Amino acid sequence: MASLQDIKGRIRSIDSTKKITSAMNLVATSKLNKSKEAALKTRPFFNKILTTMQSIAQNAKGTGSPFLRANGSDVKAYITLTGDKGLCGGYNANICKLTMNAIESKAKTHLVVVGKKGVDQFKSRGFEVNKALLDISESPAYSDAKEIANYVIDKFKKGEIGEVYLAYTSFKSSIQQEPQMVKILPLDMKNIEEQISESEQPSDLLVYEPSPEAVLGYIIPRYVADVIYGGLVEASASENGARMTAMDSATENATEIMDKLSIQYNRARQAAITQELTEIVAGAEALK
Amino acid sequence: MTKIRLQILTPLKKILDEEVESVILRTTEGDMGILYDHEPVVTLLDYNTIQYTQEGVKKVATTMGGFAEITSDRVVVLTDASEFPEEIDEERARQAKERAQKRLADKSMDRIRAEVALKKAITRMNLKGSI
Repeated sequence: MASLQDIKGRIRSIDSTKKITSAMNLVATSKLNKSKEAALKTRPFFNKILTTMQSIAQNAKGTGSPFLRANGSDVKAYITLTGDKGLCGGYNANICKLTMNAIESKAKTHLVVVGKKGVDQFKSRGFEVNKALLDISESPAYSDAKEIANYVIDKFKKGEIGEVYLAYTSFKSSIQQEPQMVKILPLDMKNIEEQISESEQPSDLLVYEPSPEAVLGYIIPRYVADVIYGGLVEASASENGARMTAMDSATENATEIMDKLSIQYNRARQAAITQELTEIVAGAEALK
Repeated sequence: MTKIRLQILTPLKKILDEEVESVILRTTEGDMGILYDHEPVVTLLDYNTIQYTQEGVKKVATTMGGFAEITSDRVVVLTDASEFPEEIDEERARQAKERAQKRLADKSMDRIRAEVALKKAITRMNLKGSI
């Protein structure tokens, strides 16, 4: 049986760990509220972009925008959104796994990774990270999304990459998050139409000022940036949600272990007292 | 007068969603006036202002690029940023203008970005100055 000192030491160390996890739980909860709000505020804009994309797609089938068809390159780009910090359960691992499973050959892959944890995971498994973005996952700004969008659009236009996918964790609720992958380029019109099938049908006789090409040339890069921004905002809410749940269960586990240890400690203490008493009584007996 | 619904949306939040009588947009091709039952149009916007009348009162806000979708009874403006005159910080806009001008003079800086920043600053200052 462990000595009293040992048990006391363990109780103390678990108690301090518990203090940290419960503090992190509180921090994650308040951050979650903030990022949830941000996610809700973006949605009207995001939905409108989707509806507009749909109506334009119907009208613009004839126009030769390079974003609407494949460009011949068989390199696939994956944008993976992870966090900069750990201690959030399986959040980072799950999203990286999703991307790794999707990758067919390392040579024909172009990786764009947001978040330190993701970069580390990919590197340790021998993947080459072509572009890494750190320190933005916690509170993503629109300019960050634009930077990523410009980067992939540039590569896509040059023909260095043929397809672009975005892997992010979508925020279902505070306790449920789901890793997801969406195709961004070339535009998959069927997919867009499905996503907004329940919304109102836009009129199909639209006029474009100054020209359909100009409008399309503006809106498609914009749409890419918006999808990425939407993903970043959702991912940040998911990360906080995942951290909250992970820290909550860690705190619970710590309490459980402490309960067990304090029972053990009391037993050991009692055993020591009993033993001491027996020794004293035996000693007194011997002196008689 | 039949009203039209004007929505101004930015990536960060919804700025406006109200019934108005008329809207004047500054598109990349020039001004465009919109009343009820307008032809359906999608148009690109310039860095400038949007004017609208609500119950006879003329109101104005900035639009920073983006585009507008116009259907017979609604105008939806999607733009990078939009402010009402009372929300604009004139001092900040003035500083932004100076900074942008300096960057434009320096050839090594990102020209397009500086130009956009300059346009935004001038739009904000013009709107503030016109009142």
